[in-house]
Amino acid sequence: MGMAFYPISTIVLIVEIGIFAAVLLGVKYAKQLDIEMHHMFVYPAVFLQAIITFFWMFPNAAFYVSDPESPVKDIGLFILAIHRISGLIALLLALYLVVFFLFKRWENSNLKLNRKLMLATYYSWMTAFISGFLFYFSILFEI
Amino acid sequence: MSQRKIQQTEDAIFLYFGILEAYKTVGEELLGEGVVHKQVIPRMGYYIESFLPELQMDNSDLKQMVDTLWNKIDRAIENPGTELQMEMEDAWKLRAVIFGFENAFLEILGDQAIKEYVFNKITDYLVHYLPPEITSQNVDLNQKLEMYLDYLKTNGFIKAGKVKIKQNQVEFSANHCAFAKIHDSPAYRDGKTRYCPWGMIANSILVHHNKAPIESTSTRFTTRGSITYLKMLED
Repeated sequence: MGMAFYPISTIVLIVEIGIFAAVLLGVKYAKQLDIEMHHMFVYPAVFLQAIITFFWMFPNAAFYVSDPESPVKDIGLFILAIHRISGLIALLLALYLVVFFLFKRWENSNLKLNRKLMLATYYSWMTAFISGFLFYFSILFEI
Repeated sequence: MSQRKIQQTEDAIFLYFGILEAYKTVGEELLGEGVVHKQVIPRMGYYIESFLPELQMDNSDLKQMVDTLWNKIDRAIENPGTELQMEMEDAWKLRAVIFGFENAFLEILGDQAIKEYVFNKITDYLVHYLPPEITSQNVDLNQKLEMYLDYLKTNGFIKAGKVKIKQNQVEFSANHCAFAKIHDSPAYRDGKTRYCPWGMIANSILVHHNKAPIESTSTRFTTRGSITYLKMLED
């Protein structure tokens, strides 16, 4: 892990800011009912987030939690717990919604439940983003 | 009710009335006098039951309700400044009448009658109720539709929306509509509502601007709003 971590995690942080900005734009277009633009932002955001989560975050999480050389202390571990739970909820919900709407045309009848799931996804994504941000600094400052 | 809410309700009622007058005029031409009582009222009962289930009205109650609403609005138009004294529930009742008309037209005359006659007629009536900039020939189409969208937002009918013009298609979206509560009703879930009234008005703005009918109109409803697709005839 060592010295390689900080440059890579900084790059990941920057990418996450970009992804979250895409999610916010997706929300904005959803509010305007511009479905085409909404999909244009959220589909790549979810796809990219899934890649980062499965290939970077999951493999590194175990190190921070259980390795004796982990720089993260109690506060950092608490933040990481929030980040993992909210992030997993957000990603699973997002993947469900992406798959659902890729294969099924949206209708008023299927929107009632899915709209609630979209809102849950958005709020858990926001929680994961903020806690991820804080976790980055908890590694940096070893708290 | 606050003054703003009163004004909002009155504005909505006059706009809906423009649509209703168009339907009634065309209905009487194509289906004969008494179209409201013979064809619309039996059908609007379904929508009243769907939107306002607590009312429990039979056909004679509906007839009286429609006549009362119509006379009230007619008097307010003839005597500007007269207070309408109507509430949001009355706006929903008018919506039910609109859908009663829509259903009558679809079942008896078909979709084409609405597109070819009603949408054009709505324009003639709505020019009196919409701000003059929206019907001015000196303003381009995109601007007109944006102004109409702003008008709906400013008056609190919707909270968000978008106008998209792509080639020969216009997408008019209206979200967080003040009347969207009824989108959860059986009439909407069963697909028995065809056109959003805000989309119909956007349609008539387009028809008025182009001075030509459009090829097709359709509305997709969401839980809180609608997207109306207006396909213009190709040049």
